[in-house]
Amino acid sequence: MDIVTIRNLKKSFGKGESRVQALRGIDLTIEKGKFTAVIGVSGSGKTTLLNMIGGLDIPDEGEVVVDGVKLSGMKEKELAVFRRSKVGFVYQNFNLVPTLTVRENILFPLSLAGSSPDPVFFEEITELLGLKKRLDAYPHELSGGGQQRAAIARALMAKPSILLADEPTGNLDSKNGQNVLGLLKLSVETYHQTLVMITHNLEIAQMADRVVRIEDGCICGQEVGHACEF
Amino acid sequence: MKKRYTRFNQTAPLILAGLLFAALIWLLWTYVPRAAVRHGILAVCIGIFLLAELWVLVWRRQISRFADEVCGTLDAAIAGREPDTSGLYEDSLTAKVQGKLRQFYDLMGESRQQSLRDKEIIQSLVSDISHQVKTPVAGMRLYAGILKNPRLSAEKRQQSLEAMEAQLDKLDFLMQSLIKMSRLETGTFVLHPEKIRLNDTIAFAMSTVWAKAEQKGVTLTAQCAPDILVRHDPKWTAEAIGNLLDNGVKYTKPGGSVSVEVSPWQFYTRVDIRDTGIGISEEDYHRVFQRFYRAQETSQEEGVGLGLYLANGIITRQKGYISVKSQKGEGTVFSVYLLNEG
Amino acid sequence: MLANSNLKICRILVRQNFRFHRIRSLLLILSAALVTGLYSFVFLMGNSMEDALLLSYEYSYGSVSHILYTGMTEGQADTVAKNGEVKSTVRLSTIGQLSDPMMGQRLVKLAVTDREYAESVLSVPETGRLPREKGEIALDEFTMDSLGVSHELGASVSLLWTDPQGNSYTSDFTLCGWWNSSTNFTEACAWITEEAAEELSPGYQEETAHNVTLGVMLHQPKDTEAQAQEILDAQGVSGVSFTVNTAYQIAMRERAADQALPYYLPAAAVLICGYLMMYSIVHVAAQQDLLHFAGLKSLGMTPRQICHMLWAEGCAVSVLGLLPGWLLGFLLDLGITSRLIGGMGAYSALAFLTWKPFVLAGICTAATAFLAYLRPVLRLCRLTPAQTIENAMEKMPQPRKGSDGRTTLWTLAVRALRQERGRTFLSAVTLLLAALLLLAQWIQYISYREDLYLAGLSPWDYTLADGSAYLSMQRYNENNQGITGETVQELRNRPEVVKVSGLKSKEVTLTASDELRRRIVDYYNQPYDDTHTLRETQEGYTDWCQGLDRLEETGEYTALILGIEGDYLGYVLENSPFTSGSFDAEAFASGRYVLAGGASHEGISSPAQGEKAVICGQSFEVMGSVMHDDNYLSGADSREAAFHIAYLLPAEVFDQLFPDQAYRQLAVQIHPERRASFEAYLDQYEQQLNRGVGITRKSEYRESFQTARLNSILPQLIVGLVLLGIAVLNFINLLIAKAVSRRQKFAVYESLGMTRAQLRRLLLTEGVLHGALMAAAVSLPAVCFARFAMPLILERKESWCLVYTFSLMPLWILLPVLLLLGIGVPLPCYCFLTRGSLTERMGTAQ
Repeated sequence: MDIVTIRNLKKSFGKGESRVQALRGIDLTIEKGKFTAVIGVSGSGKTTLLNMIGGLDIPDEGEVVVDGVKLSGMKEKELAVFRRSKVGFVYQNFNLVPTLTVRENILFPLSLAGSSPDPVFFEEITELLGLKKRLDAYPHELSGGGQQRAAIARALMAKPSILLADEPTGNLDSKNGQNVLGLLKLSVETYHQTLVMITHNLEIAQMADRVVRIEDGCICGQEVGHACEF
Repeated sequence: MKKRYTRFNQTAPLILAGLLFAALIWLLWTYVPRAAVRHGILAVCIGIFLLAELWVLVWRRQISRFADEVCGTLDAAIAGREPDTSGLYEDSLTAKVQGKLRQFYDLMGESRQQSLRDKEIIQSLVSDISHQVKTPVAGMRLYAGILKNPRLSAEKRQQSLEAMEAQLDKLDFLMQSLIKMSRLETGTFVLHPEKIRLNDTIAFAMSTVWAKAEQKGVTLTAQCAPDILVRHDPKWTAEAIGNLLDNGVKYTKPGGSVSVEVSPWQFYTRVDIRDTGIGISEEDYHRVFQRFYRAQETSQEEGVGLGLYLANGIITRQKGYISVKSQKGEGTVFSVYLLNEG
Repeated sequence: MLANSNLKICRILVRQNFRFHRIRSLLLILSAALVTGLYSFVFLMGNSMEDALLLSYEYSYGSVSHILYTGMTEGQADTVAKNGEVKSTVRLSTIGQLSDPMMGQRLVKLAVTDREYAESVLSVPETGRLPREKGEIALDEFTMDSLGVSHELGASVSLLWTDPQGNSYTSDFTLCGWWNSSTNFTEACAWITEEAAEELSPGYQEETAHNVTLGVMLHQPKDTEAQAQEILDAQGVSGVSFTVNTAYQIAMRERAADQALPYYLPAAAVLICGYLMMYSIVHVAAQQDLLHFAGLKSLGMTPRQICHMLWAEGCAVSVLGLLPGWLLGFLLDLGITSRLIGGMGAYSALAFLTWKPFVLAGICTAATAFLAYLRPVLRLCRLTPAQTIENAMEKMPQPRKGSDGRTTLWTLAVRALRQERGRTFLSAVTLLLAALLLLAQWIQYISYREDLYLAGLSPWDYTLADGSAYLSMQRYNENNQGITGETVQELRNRPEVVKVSGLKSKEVTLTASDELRRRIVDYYNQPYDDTHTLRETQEGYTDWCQGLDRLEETGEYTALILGIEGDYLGYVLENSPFTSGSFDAEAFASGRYVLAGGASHEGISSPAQGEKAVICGQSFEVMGSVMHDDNYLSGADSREAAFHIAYLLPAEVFDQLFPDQAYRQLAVQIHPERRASFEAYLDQYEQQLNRGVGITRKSEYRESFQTARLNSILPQLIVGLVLLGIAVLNFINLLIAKAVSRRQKFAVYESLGMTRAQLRRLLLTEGVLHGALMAAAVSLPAVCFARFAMPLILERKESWCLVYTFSLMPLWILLPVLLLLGIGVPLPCYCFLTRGSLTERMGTAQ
């Protein structure tokens, strides 16, 4: 079953001479419950693609359908609700709200939705990600790995259908990167979520069910990863 | 009792409103001399009352509409239809509840799909097994045919018997693997994770390949601090590591080495199995863990392409994972990441 | 649709924002406080002005009551007092009114003492007390001066009065107290005791006597005129006349509001500068903020929540700034409004303090904050997170064609100038606004000419006027002997005095020849403009019209004979143009000639040159006729003399004609350096028992002029100064922000081999460029404004002592300050920028 369907997606930035075509007609489907890695050199349009899937940006042409709903027709306020209920983001630079404590950060998407958190789930996630002792600290008091774990906890807390990760290990050393990656994979498997991750690291990409290679705004190759069929 | 309480609940506000209204009229007629003012105040009060009533009505309607919409979604889910997606992303309570219902519906669908998939897996397993079993059985049949010949020399007979035994071994190995695999696939094998020393498990795993390595002339080393405690199932983990070691020994030329190195991390304990074998090309990284996969250049080696698959399955079931890094012709590192607590 | 209640997180975010960005929040709150303060100040000032005007109307009405019913019986008064709309009443029983001709147009009632009523008409004796014994009387100072009663308790007072039936009596009293009634001039009371009243007018207390004056306070004064009539109708009372307090009339309220409007106008400037200030603070870290919001949006914050969050922040800032702001506004008001409202003592601002301006200021501050947040909110609500981030990225100006690719310090500096053009523009606009406002105030200030004002209002150092001619409304009592020949002699003997010029006046009735009569009637019948004749323009002045009618019918008219000398003669010759004849000093001094003064309008409206004038039997030849400017006369003339022809005689000739006449007024010139001793002499002279002399000092005029001149620009000046402060802070902020935000960039420059000296030079060049840019942006429009717009603005003020004077003083102060800032600010920045190692700096900016 496909959770994301992308058809002929095009997007360009800038005007006139400095116009850059970031995506030139992408067709892609992402299966539910799978780990898809998107690889490609920087500037190939990976992040733009991810932004489109997450409803962070509006395509110039083509359509993005996530979980049966077309994103192109939505207004910004609907997109916002979509983002907080369907999508969890993990960024390279963590993007934690610096003025909120780790606990508030993790619960932030729920607060935005006006929902009350599930305490058992919260307990489980913080336990799993080893954040229990640092819940009342502010993000800047945490190490890079800690911040990224908090970001993952935040992304997971709302139990979104899709996790979008933009080089989640990019700013971490390899040890922390592996840690974070394992946790991400683990939680996706535990909670039956779909993970789309941007990376330029093949060692990480090998763990995906499927690898999508993007070059210059086009998909130029897809492979099946090793972690399938379990 | 309850019923009476409800009735009281319904009538009390009415009586109270009536009393207040009477009091208002009394106050107005007693203390407000001018008729116009009196009527004006009365009209305003009635207006406020009506407005409040209207407000309550609007709320009631909204709540009932909310209930209707939720019920509609539930009805669709019960009937197995895809719930309506319009208005799913409005910033409203209805959308919130519907979103949750939808999630639940999806999960249910997911488990339905899962059981379907399980069935398919079992089917493909049966076909896999029958396919894999064919070769040794055919071999054995051949040798059995040879052995049936009474004129066979003792030497030949001995050879055939040995060959047959080898086929039997292979069949046994295959059966063992298949049983393990089937249990893995169908999820029927039970892990008994306990927090014990990883050292012992690795030692046990190494003992299974020691003889083979000795035979081939491959040095086997291990480096593991004895105090590292990891929560894992020792038997199955040893099996997985053993498979990886076996793999390493198999593809390492005589004189090479296979080493095990353990480094404890915050969440994971990393076990590196490093060999100096033929290596794996980058494109094949994620293929090596597939069932019955055998790379072209390894076809001359014995094996069925289940070892890595099994190892990966075992480790993943323990919430760990395996990654591979290799340099063609120089060697391969398999890293097993075991979750410290799990 | 049931809305989702998810706004709590917004408030948490705002609270945490405050905790994290303390300096920014503090600045915002301070600016909100400043804005609230300025608003409160402006509104308090406007309100005080309005109230003060209304109070002055009330004073000129002479009573605090909303309605005064006169000529009631006791019974009628009782019924009216019972009406539902009436809150409270005070009453007064009159037995008659003073009919001494010296009272002029004043109406003084002889009334029975009633303390409550006395309080309501502000007529409680300040010296002495209300009468208790029979035969005692309490009077106001004007009445005393007009009647020539000496300021002494126990002095005997002889009064001519008329009862309602029109019978006149003369009664004697002793003075038991008096009060200074400078506020209500036209009406006053003379208090006597009940027994005295009973004795003078037996039966005044009877039910049927229409002698009660009822002062009524209403619950809700609105259209008082109609309300007064309604009350009468409702209670069935007829035959009663009433007056209503002008202060409570809608027209007067509107007038007061109109007059107070200029004091409310600075609110517009406050709005603009408050908006700019808050906007610039909100936008200090626009880029980081946008990124922050993009992050929040990507986590699913809806536009509604962002709106709510920003509004909540705006509200919080406004509310937190409220108390200090109110305090600031109150203090400013205390300091400045008290200056603006004269005659109320030092704390007049306190007297008019109400809650409304504060509330209004609060609302306006919230509105200003709302406006300041409006743009970011609108922008943030529409954009998707990716667009927001794109927006936050620095926009590079279009590269110029033909560049050879080489970079010099100069091109780098110019490029820096072209970055963040929006903020630079904002800063320049604020500076320009401040400069224009200050320039306008300065030019207005120096355009008010003191010499013109003094020449017009007090040409002499001192004017000593007879007690009955001190105020312009008072009628001069020709029989007074306040200033006598001895006084003049004494003054002349003072060493400080340079010159004393006297003026005496006398009204006589003369008969005009037929020729003169026709000439004057024709003169006043000539058209003044398209629709009116000269006569018709004077229709409002009944006394004047009666005088002209008398002349037309009988040929009789009132002549105002003025004996003048010295400075007075000089003044007349200077300010009153001749319509016929010319002045010959020798001939004038000979005593055979008079000058005839007609209307202050083109044409001859008096005897002309060569004609004969017979005054008191003595015949004079008219030397010439002038357009008589009689502003130099103190006090007013009698009602009959509203229409008069003035005859100007030399003082000696006047003395021969009217030997016993005392001086009406004296003009005294002194040596300026001996002013102090002369002042002391005057003070001592004033404290003497006989206070029948009013002294007007030129220095008082000068002081009041200077105060008024300063006051007229003070509100705008304060707003302008605050705006300037904001503008300068903005400019400094701009320079610092531009330098500091490029810390990493500079580190890169340095790593590529730029020396410290070069970096310093770059910063300095940028600073100077910025300063020069601002100076240019400010000075050009400012000069144009001062040159071309200011004359028109001043013209519209229609003040006779305003002469447009060009000056750019505020600009000359501002421009060097801007350049100095341009040089001075980058240096500390340079120190900050070069702190730490290169690698550290290249890393920190992330």
